[in-house]
Amino acid sequence: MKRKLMQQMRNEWRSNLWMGIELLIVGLVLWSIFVIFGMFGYIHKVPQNFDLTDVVAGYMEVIPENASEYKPYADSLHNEWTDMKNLVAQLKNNPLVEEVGFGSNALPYNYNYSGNQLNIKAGDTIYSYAGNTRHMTPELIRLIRLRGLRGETPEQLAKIIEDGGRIISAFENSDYELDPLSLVGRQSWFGNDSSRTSTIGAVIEGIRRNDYEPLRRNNGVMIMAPQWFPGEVAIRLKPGKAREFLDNISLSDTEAGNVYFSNLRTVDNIRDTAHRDIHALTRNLTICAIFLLSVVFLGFLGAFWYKTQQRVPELALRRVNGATRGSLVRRLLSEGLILLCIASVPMLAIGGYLLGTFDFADILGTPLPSWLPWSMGACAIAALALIIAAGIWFPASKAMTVNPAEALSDQ
Amino acid sequence: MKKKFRQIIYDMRTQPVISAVTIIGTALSIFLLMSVMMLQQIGTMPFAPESNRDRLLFGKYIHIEYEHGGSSGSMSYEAARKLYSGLEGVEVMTIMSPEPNSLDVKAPGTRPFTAYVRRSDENFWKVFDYKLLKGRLYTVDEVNAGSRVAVVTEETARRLFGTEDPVGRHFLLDHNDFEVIGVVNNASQLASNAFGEVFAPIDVREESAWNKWFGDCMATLLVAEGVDKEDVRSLVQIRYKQFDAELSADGQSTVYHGAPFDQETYASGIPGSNGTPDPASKRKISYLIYAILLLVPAINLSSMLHSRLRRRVRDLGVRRAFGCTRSRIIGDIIAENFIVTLAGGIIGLAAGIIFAMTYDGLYEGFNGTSVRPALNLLLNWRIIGIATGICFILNIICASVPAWQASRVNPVDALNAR
Repeated sequence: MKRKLMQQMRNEWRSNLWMGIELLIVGLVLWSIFVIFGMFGYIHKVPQNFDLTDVVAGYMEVIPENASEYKPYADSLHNEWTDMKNLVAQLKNNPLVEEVGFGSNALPYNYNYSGNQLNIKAGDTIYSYAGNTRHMTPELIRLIRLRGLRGETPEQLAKIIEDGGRIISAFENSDYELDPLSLVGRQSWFGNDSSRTSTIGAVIEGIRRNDYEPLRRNNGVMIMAPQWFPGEVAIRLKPGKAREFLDNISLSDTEAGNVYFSNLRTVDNIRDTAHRDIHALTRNLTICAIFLLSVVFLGFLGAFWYKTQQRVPELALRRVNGATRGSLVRRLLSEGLILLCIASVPMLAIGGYLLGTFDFADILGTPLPSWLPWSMGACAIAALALIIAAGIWFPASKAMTVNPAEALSDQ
Repeated sequence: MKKKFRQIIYDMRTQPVISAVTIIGTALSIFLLMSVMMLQQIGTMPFAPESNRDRLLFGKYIHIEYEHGGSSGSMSYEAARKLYSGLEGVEVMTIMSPEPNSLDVKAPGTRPFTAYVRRSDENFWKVFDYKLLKGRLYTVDEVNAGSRVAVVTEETARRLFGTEDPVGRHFLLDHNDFEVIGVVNNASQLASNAFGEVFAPIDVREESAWNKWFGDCMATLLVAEGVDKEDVRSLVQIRYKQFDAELSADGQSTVYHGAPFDQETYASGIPGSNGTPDPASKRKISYLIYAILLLVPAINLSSMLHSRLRRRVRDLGVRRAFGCTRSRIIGDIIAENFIVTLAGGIIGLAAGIIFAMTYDGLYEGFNGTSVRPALNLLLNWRIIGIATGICFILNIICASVPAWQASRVNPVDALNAR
């Protein structure tokens, strides 16, 4: 029976060829889309080494001296720093607030890059480490619950910053074959200024800029205390109270003297904004995948509708000769699935070749496990198989309702 | 023509499933293609206040190299003037902030809110066609004097003062007292170069510039009618060379990245301040997407048409027996199919427009929020023309082969239904 089916398919080679080409193109595009989804899913699963639940963040602003709203200071003991301290004390009186911290380029979910080169002396060798400089107050480190690579607690990491030390992220994909932990306790300095050194106090995993972007060398981080008036403010609230805090906060709670907080939002909100591009891309790719699968569905629906109409006498003859409805539906389904199997051969060959030319490690900064793209290829084929089955099911089941006696009356 | 329609309707009635699949398939194809095209078109098609997009050129960044490194970013006012002012073939040049800044605005006795503030010189209003609704626009004297005057959009006027005519009233812009001197119409955030909610004179005294050549300015050039943009670009290159001669005294030189860019390059994305845009490769990717979106449904539609024509083989045989030429048969089939494709195309275009107007995430504003375009941006003669063109191409791709095969039918075989 299978040999006869192959013969039948060969007889209709022209239409089958076109459907095969369609499956090949759609399969390749679907595979690419699924690889992107798989990539995002794989990275998203890796936990971040900080916790921003119940945190609201915004900016600390200072009214410039030439502004009409500027309030001159009565004496030299008062300045923006004292205003900032007053503002923090004011906020800490709020029963919902647990901690207030400041930073500059400190929080994740922003795409600023404050690049700098840190030199670290280990023995006779000086290692250069290029990364994103993040300035955090010890309070901010505690507040975002940053964890160290050796299991250091946020309090221990905060103490390092308090004592004037630096924290660096692991040398992900660096050219150095060096255990990053061996750098702890070494002296480090920025650029050519070796006169101002500071000790590397701890190594952390890194801070990913968003949940879908892997750690890579150019977003390695160097954390230190803010050296100038910081721009970011983060407030940790009691569990589940972030929304309530934002809803009830008044203007006077967020300003003192010439310092004020602006744009306070929950970190969830900031995260959503940071992920908007990725979510939009995912949505658009999903629409594209649905479109292509719909086209395949319509194609098989139409083609098999026509085929079953043409083959009504043949199917009736088979029924008369004892074939069950199920076996006839299976025969039609097999026709579509054999076509998919044939199209899958060049699809896997072309896809495999393209995967070979695609350097995930270079693009993502980290290699993807080799099973991931291939399993996504299998998913693409499975999706096509399902949609083909759905497309064939309706015409096949419709054809089964034909009465063999009526269908053969003309013969 | 009436006969043709009757034939099409009869043909569709006799094969309802295949006809429905044909129309839905066409509609789906046009829907997705038009959605992708509309997405790209909005970045380049002219609409107010960017009605002059065809003649605009943008100089946004400057890149300077030193002995040990380099810097790149937005230009200072002085750098923008040095590179772009007084160029031959340019009708008007405006110096403006590259992006509108989101700043606090507050009217007396009200809560502050954030508005997009665009700083510019007086020529901004000549390059971009905002409609002045009340008052006046700022003048060159006000720009040079750094006057604290502002033009606001009607929506901002309402939010600030609860009225559409606040001319003469004062408000705080980033904690500074400003006087409203004019009100202009609202603009869509899709007009990314002209958009703003509050407009104020640019800081010509460089108070915000962190370096002599770097600041918060960009130059937008309105090229005179009939002038080749390449000629203007060549003049800018000469300016870069002159600028290099000046910088060389400090051991510095510029890196030229092809500025000023036209609207298409600008819309396709500039790779930061130290990269050279490559619109050609982006165009290639777009063409590949269009090709896939056209080819896959075309294969299906071709197969559907082939099925429909096999039902009409006797009819074609009769026509051939009575002397109808092959080319006539091909022409008739393509024309008939074009009408069916057009019907699907209209449904697809309508679905595409509804989708673009209701789906969040297709168009983005400055802070990543979704922007829903106005109907007139999506439904215009240009879009209708493109949709019709796509229908025509789709029709030619999917109907040519079946039509050619149908025209080769042997009348004797056809009449014997062999």
